[in-house]
Amino acid sequence: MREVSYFAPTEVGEAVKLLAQHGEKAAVLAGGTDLVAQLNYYEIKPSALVYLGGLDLDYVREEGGKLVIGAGTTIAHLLTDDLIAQKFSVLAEAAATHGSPAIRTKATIGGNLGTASPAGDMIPALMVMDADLVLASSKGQRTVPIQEFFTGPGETVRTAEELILEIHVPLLKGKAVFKKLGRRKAQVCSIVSTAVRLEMDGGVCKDARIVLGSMAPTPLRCSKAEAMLKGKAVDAALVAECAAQAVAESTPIDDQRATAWYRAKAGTALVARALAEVAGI
Amino acid sequence: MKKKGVGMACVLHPTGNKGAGDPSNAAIQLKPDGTLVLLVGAVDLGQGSTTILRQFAADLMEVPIEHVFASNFADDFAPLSLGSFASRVTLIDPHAVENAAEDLKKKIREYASDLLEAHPDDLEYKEGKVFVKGAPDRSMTLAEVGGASMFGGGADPALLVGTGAWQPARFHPHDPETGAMPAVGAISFGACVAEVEVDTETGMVDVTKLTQVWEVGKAVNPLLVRQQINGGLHPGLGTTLTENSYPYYPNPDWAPENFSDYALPTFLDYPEETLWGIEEVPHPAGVKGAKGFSEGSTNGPPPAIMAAIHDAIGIWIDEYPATPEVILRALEAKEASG
Repeated sequence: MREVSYFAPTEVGEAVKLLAQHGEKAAVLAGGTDLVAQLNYYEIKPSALVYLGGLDLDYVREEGGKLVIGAGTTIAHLLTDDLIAQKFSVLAEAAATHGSPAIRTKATIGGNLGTASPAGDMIPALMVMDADLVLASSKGQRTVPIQEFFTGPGETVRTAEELILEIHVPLLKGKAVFKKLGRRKAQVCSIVSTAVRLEMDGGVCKDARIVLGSMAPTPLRCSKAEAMLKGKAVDAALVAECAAQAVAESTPIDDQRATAWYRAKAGTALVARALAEVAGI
Repeated sequence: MKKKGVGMACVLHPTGNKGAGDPSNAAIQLKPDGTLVLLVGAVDLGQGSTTILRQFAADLMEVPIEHVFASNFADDFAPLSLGSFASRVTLIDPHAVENAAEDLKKKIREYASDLLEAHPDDLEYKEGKVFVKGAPDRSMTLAEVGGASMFGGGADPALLVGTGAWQPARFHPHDPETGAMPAVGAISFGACVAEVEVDTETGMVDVTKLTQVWEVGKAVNPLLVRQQINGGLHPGLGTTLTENSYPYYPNPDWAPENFSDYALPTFLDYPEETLWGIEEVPHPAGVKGAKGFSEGSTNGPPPAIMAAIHDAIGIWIDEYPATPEVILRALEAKEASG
């Protein structure tokens, strides 16, 4: 039998020291909803497991005009948190579509980011709010804009010695929504998902974010489509044009859940609906 | 855009086999306290076969159901049943229980004969008692017979077990003159009406309401009949809309490898409104007119939902399941052909 050391540090300093010691051979365990499946299928074979549940990272608070979300905050917590409901409801919308009650009770927002699936349910909502990720290592902390965090499916700029500590969310203006299509209505990985945020002044768009999930190697911000909206009066024709542009920026693939052809068709409809909803048309 | 449609389907479902042999056995044992133990081999997978066979035993032995214990805890140790398939248990196994009950009543009369000082033919069994015909005061309860058979008390001890076996009558493979052949034991009849909303931009089909009515001969346990009707909807929905082994056949690359990608419906995928109904026309082949139907409840929803999709978008989808991809491609082909 393979030897696996298990550590359950109770302080961040202790945790990052363990990661510095074990490096690539360590796996970070939070809720375990992704990691344990990977362990069971021998997709990863770490020699050390560093459990983060003892670090008290399950919190949401407002600090200096930002929401600060601990990386260990469970999806179930996000779904019932008052601050999230009042100031960042699109994240709660995304949380409601994530897994099953059992999964949501264990899975954490930091885990969803760390797994870095192109289909990660919580990521598009964080991206439309320009969230920053705070990474900690034994050498100190650094802040990475979420836009720069993902580098490929399952790949991020996080080094093996770092852990995701917090997510800082600026309380940007405007209305945001999240939409997701899957093979069924619950407990499902998305075929395509989208989050959009529009800041409107009368009928004119002041600021826009459009993010697609499951449509590229990483969750994708569609900046050309966003640019089409800024400063424009948003009507149905512009929404349709913009949705088509957003999907044109993506690179969907065929997989067991859907074909690229379907993703492009349904994704266009999904973005158009999300835009129309937030623009109130 | 969401388009609404309604569709219906009728189903004939054969229950039980014939001719090739479709046997079931049962045993009923009298315990010293007068309670009964029913042993059957039909495997209860949650469909309720043990429950209804217990009901039959209580009814045929004319005792409260609380006095009958039924078990199929291990079919290695039980009288055999050909099995829980072909919707056959409700049609076939009650005959074995009925024969076992008759056999037990006969053995009770024979055993009580010495104690009641009367010839077995002059004894009658009714409502948990055995008594001398015309002299109901000279009687023994099941508890008295059971106690005596275990502990003696005037007669030799005995284990009183009624056994029963049954299978449908064999028949000639076919009538050489007409070719006619009674291939199945009984047929149950079902009707299903589905209402759907088809999203023409995403291809998603939402079954908003589903009604299913079944003619079951005799609803031995109406709650179980209802649950079997609604239970059949689950595989019916999955077959029609989501469960796909080879999504892009003939390319096997994306065959699902787990139950995350092989999408069984969840409760959220169920229709918001599910109605059900039971009709009863006693069937001559069944005990008390009962026959099976349950597998048929899976067969109604697929054609009814497909007909509703046709009603909504004017296209007959001729492959299962009608995934969002299949729907969108069909809509595009229709548009292309004008």
